[in-house]
This record gives sequence, C-alpha cells and structure tokens, in this order.
Amino acid sequence: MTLRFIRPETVREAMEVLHEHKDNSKIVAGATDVMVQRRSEKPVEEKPLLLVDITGISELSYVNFQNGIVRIGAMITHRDIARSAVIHDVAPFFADACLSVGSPQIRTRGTIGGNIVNASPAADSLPPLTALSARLRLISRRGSRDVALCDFFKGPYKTIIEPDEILKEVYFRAPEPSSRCAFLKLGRRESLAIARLSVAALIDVDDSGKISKAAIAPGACLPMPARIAPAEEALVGKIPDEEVVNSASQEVGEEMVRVSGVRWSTEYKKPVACALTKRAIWKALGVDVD
Amino acid sequence: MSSFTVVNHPISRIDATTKVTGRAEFADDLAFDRMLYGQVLRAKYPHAKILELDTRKAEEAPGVAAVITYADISGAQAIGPVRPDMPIFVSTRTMYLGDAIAMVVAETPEIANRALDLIRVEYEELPTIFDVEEAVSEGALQLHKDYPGNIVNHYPLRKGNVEEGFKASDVILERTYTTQLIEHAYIEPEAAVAVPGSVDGNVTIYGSIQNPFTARRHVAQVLGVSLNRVRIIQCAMGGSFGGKDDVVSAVCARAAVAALKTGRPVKVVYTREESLIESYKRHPYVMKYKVGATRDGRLLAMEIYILADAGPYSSMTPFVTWRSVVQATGPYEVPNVKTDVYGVYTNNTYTGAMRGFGSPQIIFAQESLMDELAKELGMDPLEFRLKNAFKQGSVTASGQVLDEHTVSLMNVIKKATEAIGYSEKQRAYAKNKTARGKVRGVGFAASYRGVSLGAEGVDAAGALVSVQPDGSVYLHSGLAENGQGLKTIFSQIAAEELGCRFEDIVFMDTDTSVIPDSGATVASRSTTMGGSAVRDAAKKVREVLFGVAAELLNAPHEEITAAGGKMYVNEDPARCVDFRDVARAAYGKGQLMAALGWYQAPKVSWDEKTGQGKAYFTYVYGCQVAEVEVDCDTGQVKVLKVVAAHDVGRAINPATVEGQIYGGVTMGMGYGILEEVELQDGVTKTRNFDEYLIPTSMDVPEIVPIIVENPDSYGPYGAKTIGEPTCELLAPAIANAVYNACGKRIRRLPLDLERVLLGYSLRAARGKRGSEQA
Repeated sequence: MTLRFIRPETVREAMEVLHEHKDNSKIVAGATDVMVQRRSEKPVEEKPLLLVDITGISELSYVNFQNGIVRIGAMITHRDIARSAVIHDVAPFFADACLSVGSPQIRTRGTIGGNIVNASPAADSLPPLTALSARLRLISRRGSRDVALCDFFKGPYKTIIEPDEILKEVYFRAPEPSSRCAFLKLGRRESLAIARLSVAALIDVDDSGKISKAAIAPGACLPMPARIAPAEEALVGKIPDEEVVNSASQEVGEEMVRVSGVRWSTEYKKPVACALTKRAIWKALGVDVD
Repeated sequence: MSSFTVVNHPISRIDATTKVTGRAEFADDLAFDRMLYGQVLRAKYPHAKILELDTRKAEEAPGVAAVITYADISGAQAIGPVRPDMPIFVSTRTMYLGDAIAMVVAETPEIANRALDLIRVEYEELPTIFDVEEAVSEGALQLHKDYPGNIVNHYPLRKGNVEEGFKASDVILERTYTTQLIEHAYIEPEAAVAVPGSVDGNVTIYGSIQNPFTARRHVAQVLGVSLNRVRIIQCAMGGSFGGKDDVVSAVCARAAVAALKTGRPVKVVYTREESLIESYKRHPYVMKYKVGATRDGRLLAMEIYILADAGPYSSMTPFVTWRSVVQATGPYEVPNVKTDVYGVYTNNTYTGAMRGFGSPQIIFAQESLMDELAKELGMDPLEFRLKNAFKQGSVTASGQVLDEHTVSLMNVIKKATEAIGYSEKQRAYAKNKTARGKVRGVGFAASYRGVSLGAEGVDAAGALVSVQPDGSVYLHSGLAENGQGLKTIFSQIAAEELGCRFEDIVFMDTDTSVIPDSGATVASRSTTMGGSAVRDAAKKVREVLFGVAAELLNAPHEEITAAGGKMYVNEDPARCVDFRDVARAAYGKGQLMAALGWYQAPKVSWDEKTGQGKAYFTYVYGCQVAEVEVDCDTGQVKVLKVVAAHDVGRAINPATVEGQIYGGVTMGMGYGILEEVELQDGVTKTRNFDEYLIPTSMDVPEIVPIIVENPDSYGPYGAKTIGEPTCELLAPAIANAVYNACGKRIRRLPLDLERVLLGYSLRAARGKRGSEQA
C-alpha cells in the first residue's frame, strides 16, 4: 500500500481527516497538478500518502456577491468562473484569466482553490486576484484565519498553509463600477499553454480624466504574486498618455529584475513584460493598441 | 466528371468508425492468459562504461519472473536497417541516454517498475560529444573505431564545375541554416505483446509496428531463428510518421526474448517519457550553402555542405541523407553543383526515419536561401523562382532528365500563390516596417520530391485479393496501415478493378505469415507501389470472373466489363449479372478466385562517387504559402492561413488527400514555430507533452488544399505520392513570411518567441547542438 484515497463530503469531515493525518496527507482539489506530480514521485511504502479529495464537498462550491464583497468557494472550477455572471459583471479580467487556463478538460476539473494553493508563479488566476487585493479564508479544526493573498505565498510553490488547513474561499471587494480591467497572457501556443508572461491591470479614472486608482499585477515573472507599486504610482494622478503608460510599464520590467535578478530568460522577459503591461493598461483604458 | 466508380471519389475511411467509437484494438488493449509485463532499465549517462551489472536482487523480488539482459540473447546482439550497430541491450558501453540495459518481466507493470530500482549498475563516465561540427573536427573523440572522424556516411554530388560557376556569377551568397531535433509525437507510444508459440521457438508478436517485415527480420536475427519462426501481426496504429521502425523492432525483440525465456506472453508498453527518451527523432542538420547567380537572376552554381546528427547509431541515416543529397538544390536548374552530405555520430539521441525523411531540413535551407538571394538581386521571390524552376525536360543536380512525367512545378507554385494573393500581399506587407505591434507577412516554399525509395534499395510490393463464394472479398497487403489511410485506398483500388461493391471488401490486418515481404511502409510509397500490386491482383481475379460472366451473359469475354457490383456487356449494360452471382457460379465451377499481385518499381540508378544518376522513377511537386502575423513586441508568430497545392498524379481519394494535407501542414507548422526536443549534454529535458509542444487544434490555421492531378505513367490510375510532401514545406514558408512581415531573417528552427524577438534562443536547456547563428 503506497497510496490511500478519501473523499469527504463535508468540511467538518475533511478537517477531521486532515487533523488526524497532518503529516502524511495531501489535499486534492481537482487533481490537475497533484496527479501530474505523482507521476514522477517514487512511492514510499512505509508512509503511504493519504490523498484527501475535497472536490465532493458541495459547501465549498459557491459564488456570492453581498455587501460589495465577492466570495468564491475554493471548489469553484475555472470553467465556473469563466461562465459566472457575477464575475463577468464585477471583474471580467478574472473570467478572462480563468478561460485562458489549459484546456476545457483542465478548466472543468481544476479549481480556484487548487490553483491558489499550488502557488505556481505562472498561475493564470493569480494576477487578477492580486490586482483585486483578494483575501483568503483558511479553516481547520483549530479555527479559521484570514490572510491577504499576497501574504499567503512564501515563494514558488510555497505557501503558509498548515497541513491541517483547508482554503475555504477567496474573496475581494468588487471594484468601483467605473473601473476598467484587462488580463493579457502570452503563451507558446493558443491553448494548453503555461503563461510565458501575463499581466492584470485594474484602473479607475476620475471625472477629470486622471487615473485615480491603479493595480498592476504581472504573472510568470516574479517568484510570487505581487502588485508593482512603482508602476501604479507612475499612473495615479496622471492623465494617461503614451509617456505615462510607457514609464509605468517600464517599472514592471525593472521590478522583475530587482526581485528575480538577472536570469537566463531576463533578456527576453524584461522587454516583453513591459510591452505586455503597456498593452494591458491601454486595453483596460479601452484603447486597442494591437 | 470522373470516369471511375470508386477511385477518385471522397469515400469515408473504412477504419474511421471503429477508431472514433473506441472499438479499434491497439496493442495495449490485448490481453493473454498468464501475461507478464516488461519494464526497461535505461542508461544513467549518455556515454559510460558499464563496469558491473547485478540483477540478482531484482530477479529474487516477489512477482518478478525474469530479468533479461544481453546475456539472454542467443542471436544478434545489435540490429539496424543498414548496419547492425544498435544493441538490443547494451553490454559494455552506453552511447546515449535511451540505451536499454535490462528489462524486468513481472506479474504486473508496478512490480516490474519497482524491481528496476533493485538492479545495480556501476558506471564509469566517458568523455562525450554532442556537437556535429566538433565531432568531425580533427582530434575529436572517436565514438566507433570502424568509422573514423565519426562519419556515418558521406554522399558527394558533382555536376559541372562550381569554381567556374562562381567565377561567372555576379552575386554570391553564403548562408548557414540549422534545424532542430524533433519528435514524431505519435499519440500512442510504443507497444507490443510477444506470445510464445505452441511449437518450440516460435513466437507471434502483436504490436504498434509500422513495418511488420522489418520487425520480423530484426526479431529473427536477435532470436537466431529463421524468418518463418517469427510471425508479426500489426494492431491498429496510434500514429507512426516513420517513428515505429527501429525502436519498435527493439521493443519486439526484447518482448520476444522474454516470452521465450519465461514461456509466457510478455507485454511491453512505453510511457510517454520512455518514448521521448528512447525513440529516435528527426535529424538536426547544419547546412552551409553557397550560391551564385547572374545579375538577371539565373542560378549558376551551388556548393552545399551538410552535417546531419545521427546520434550514436546509424539507423536510417544513410538513407535519410541520401534523399537530402538528391534534392538539396531544390527544384531549380543549377548547372554547377557540388554537394557533400555527412551523417555524423554523436552521443545525442539517435535519429532515423520521420515523415519527410531528409527533405524538411534541406527545403528549409534552400527555400530560405531563394528568398534571400531574390532580395540580394532586388527581384520578386516568385519571379526569381519561376525563372529557375524545373520545367518539362529540365536536368536535376544528379543529371536526371525530367521527361517521363508532367513537371508541374510552375503550375503548383502559380496555383498556390494566386489563391492567397501572394504577390499583392507580399509587396504591401514589405512596405510596412514599423517593427512594433502586430504586423503581417506572406511567404512560400516549393519542392520536388522523388517518389518511393528510389535508388535507396529493393522496391517491390505484394497484395492478395481473395473473392469468397458469396462475392465478398478479402484484401491482404504487404504494406501496412499506419494511419495514412492505406486500407481505404487499397480497398478502393480493389473495388474499382474487380467491379464489386466497395463495402464488400474487408481489409485484413497485415500478417507476415500470409503475404510476401513487401519491404517497409515508408517513403510515401504505399499508393504507388502497394496500390499497383492490389490492382495487379484484382485484375487477375477479374479475368477469371469475366470468363464466368461471359458464359452467364452469353457474350464474348472481351466485351464484359464490371462496376458497382455488376458485370455487364459493354455495349448493352442492361445485359448484366450481379457480381455475387458471378462469384457463386465461379466457385461452383471450381475456379480460382484469389490472386497474388506484385509490383516492382521501374529501374533507377545512382553513382555513389559522383552523385549522378536517375535517382527516382518519378517526382511530385508542391508549393505551400503561409500568411502570418508577427508580434514584434513579443516575438509571437501566428499562422493565419495556409494554401497548399500538391500534384498527386491522381487522387485515389480526394478526401484522404486533403486529410494528408491538413495533417502535414500542421506538422510543418510545429516544426516551424514550436517543436524541439531539448537535450542538455545528451540528457532529454522535454519528456512529455507539457514541455514538448506540438500545435493544438486552437493553433491550426485555415488550410486551403489544392489538389493538382497530372496522371503519372507508373502508379495506379496515375497516382503518385502525398504523405510526406505535405509536411516538408511550411517551416520555410513561415520563415519567409516572418521576413516579409518584420524584416527579420531567421536561419534556425524553430521560430519560437525568443528567436523571433531577439534573433537567438534563450531556452534554459538549449545548446550543445551546433552553434547558435542568427
């Protein structure tokens, strides 16, 4: 016996199982990453892994919009989000990002909770959620705690989640109705493509035509999701023109090098991150620059 | 309007329904009583001495039936289509990462897999060589003592005098082009089951086998038995594209050795990772071209130097590079030619047959070069090519006069370029030089291609047509269905020739015990060679049936004809008898209603020293045009539309010809912009389809096939070839289109994001395979 599998139907049941098996269990939340990882793992006979499949827990499948807060249960799939009327209404770039994930099969199995906890630097859902300043609720038998999405990650594929904890939901305040957003992804092909680079931009413009709020979050170029404050600062308070947008976009490339250092891919990624950011900002502002 | 009843009609493939409903039986679907499962242990280092191999612990593990190594082989230790240099199991030295060291045979695949860890191998790493130019340089490490300079083979071709040609030239251009290592990416990995026979030493093998007769020969050699002791039955194929040849022979041989040792059926099925590591690939080429032309655009001389990376084993390298030397100048009249093509040994993954077979590489070089030279001369690329293109009676680089078939090169070029509006678009896009944002471009490539094996070797094929007493028909063929649609094409030819109903024919899976050795199902030779054999067999049976019909209809034999399930009097079709009734009557009279058909290719010739001769008995011509969008800010190339015009002689089935074009264009696109097996110091980095990227259905552009028919004097109903020409043209068409769009000339495949943006590749594992040249 090298592997055991359990499929709890309630949150309570799942928390009990995780509490009891915290040193040898792994949550399965769609299996699109777990099963791929297991393919290259050598099984250990002495300590059989317990896979806890939480996709059967119906209490974790919901999209709520109340009091200005959108709450998404962790077992909501990418396909659900791509088709959600609420998401299309309040944060269409998040729907776009989820629609760009893998293939119809992967989008139908893969969940938002799984995508967040897997913590891939190239995860498609993370740039828009970062731009939305999303927060997470983690639960365990010990209680529950809320953390900001950007504080959840420790590095690539590393998070602060404890072995007995479940990600219950991700939530964010709906942006002002006047705000505009865009998500752009560059892959090596049109589908089943891991992001080579991606950018989410969320921008609000006031009555005078000045940018009042800006959130810029790139993907696949930082070890973990983050907003690029210097880029946002370069935008806020300005009337967007070519110079403003260019200098803000430039900051994304600079930040990438500051955080990740110069890597084999930098020579390509730096100019492309700037170019993609520029396009995302203009797209959010309603200008098609292609 | 077609004068044929079945042939030349777009009939649905006879194997389509079983495949799309999941009922087709693949090798992995087979199960036998007491069947065991084999798992292969492979090399840890690409080049290392094996100091010690200890399998005892694995043999003792519960559930393990045997561990097979070189010591269990009583016949040939190594196989190969030209030279037997690829070991079934290595004994003393690994030569690349895919080398097999042992195979555990156990009750379940999981037990076999775990037992691999119990095999102890002690290695001593040896110096390695991964770069072809380094391999041929003086003082380089020598991989095979019998092949100095790491040269697998060398093909020279000499025509005219290149020095004088260059002297007379107004413009001389020298360019180096490089192509990458790519994988066939058949959807079904290697699989075979060996079943020991009831007679001692006999074995039957079912498998995903492209060439049943090649597999039989290799298995018999390894077992040290005569050919009739080994029976190969082909299963439904999940793709091959030239890929399930040598590597599958090795899989079959290991399974057969294990089956005879244990006395039980043994199944071996590879994972995708195993397939990508062990199986052979398409040769990477380094190609140095020097070309001279007059100011008014007449080609005068071409000097070509090519190094093809063979990996450590010769495999098909001598044949692949031979096609390259024949076709290296492209379909153009060049009076003075000096070509040298070398196959080179390295410690990279070995290379062999893949759809295209030595043509995609040289066409990428020569068609990029034609555009570059046209620009140098200030000429339109189309006008420049037409000025030099083969026409009726042209002489090839090997001195062959093209006068036995219709030389339709100009015709296919014109059809393809006109269909997309090449000239207008090319001029319009060339003006757009913003080098920012998304810009469009068009480009094309043209080729000629020798049909079938040519002077490579023996070229003959057989088929058996057997009409049953009720008028239904068995059709056996020595050439095999590999997904290309052969079953349907051959059934169409048999039905046309017999005059029976198409649906009354049952095509039998290829079985080496039933039909004569017809060589390999390669070189796009099935329709021409096998189709002619089917026609020959059907004609022989038809003559018998016509005799019986003549009696039934009370008419002279020579006035009988047949079509659509009826035999009738030519001048009076109302006087007819059902095909089935004729069969019943013939059976009643004790007539033989079966016949073996055979077709031998017309004579060809080749002088190995001068590279002169009649290389192939006929040729096909093709042209593909690509319209692309290049994102100058990201390096992304999107192929928007492709027009592909191909002269097939005669389309036996226009629908499957179009299918070949759609598939070939898609493979050509993968070669052009996406695919590369990445090796880092001989270690395969791209081990599954998450990293080895092929086009998805979302990437496939609009494809417009144009079928051109100029019936040939040899093939059945004038049919020639379509399988391979479709996948040899798109990569250079894309490269030319990218240049047209943004002014960047990229001389190395693939045109991925980094190479298009920066001019060179950045992938982490890239390199060690020739120097990067922008």
